[in-house]
Amino acid sequence: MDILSRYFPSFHLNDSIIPGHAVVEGTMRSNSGTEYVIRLHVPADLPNSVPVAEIVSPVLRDRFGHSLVDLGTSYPMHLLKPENGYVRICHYSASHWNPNITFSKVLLKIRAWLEAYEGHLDSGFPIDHFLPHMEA
Amino acid sequence: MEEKDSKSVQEHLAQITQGKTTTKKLVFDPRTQELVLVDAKETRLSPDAVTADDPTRDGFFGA
Repeated sequence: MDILSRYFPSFHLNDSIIPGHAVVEGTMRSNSGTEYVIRLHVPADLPNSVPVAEIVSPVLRDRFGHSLVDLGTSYPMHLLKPENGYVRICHYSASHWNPNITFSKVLLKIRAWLEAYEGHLDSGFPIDHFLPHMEA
Repeated sequence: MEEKDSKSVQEHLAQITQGKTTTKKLVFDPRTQELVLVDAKETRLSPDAVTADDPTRDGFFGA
């Protein structure tokens, strides 16, 4: 948590005695000043698996007013299938994940996704206009 | 010179996505939590600032 608190001081660990139920949660503010609550699920086999990243609030909508949750899995918006009503961001695939990737690096990608999301709201371009796809 | 308005940052991200060469680099300043564009040759950054270009260039998993 030391590196995390250095770069993202609002984030904190909500631990759980049940493996796989701990989360790291905090607030990010985009350059425009909008605040987003982000939650990372700590995998039971950390650091060997990809942490799920969710946007807890606000409810995200696309430029056309559709809920991003209702979009489901979306390649152009870099979204995984939502669960529990929360948008899940595609950041690293399991095949690109390695145990040296820190939560801070994941959050840095989420921070870029938020800026791209706001770019989508302004321009109508999908998020993959602003953020590339990983090479297979 | 620093730029941190949303439109400039978004245009920079789009340029990276299109594989274009940029004269700026995007850094994350943990003190302000902002993404900031600085000259690519700029060396006088906040000690805690980290580049956001590299994680962006890595790409995002496409579902």
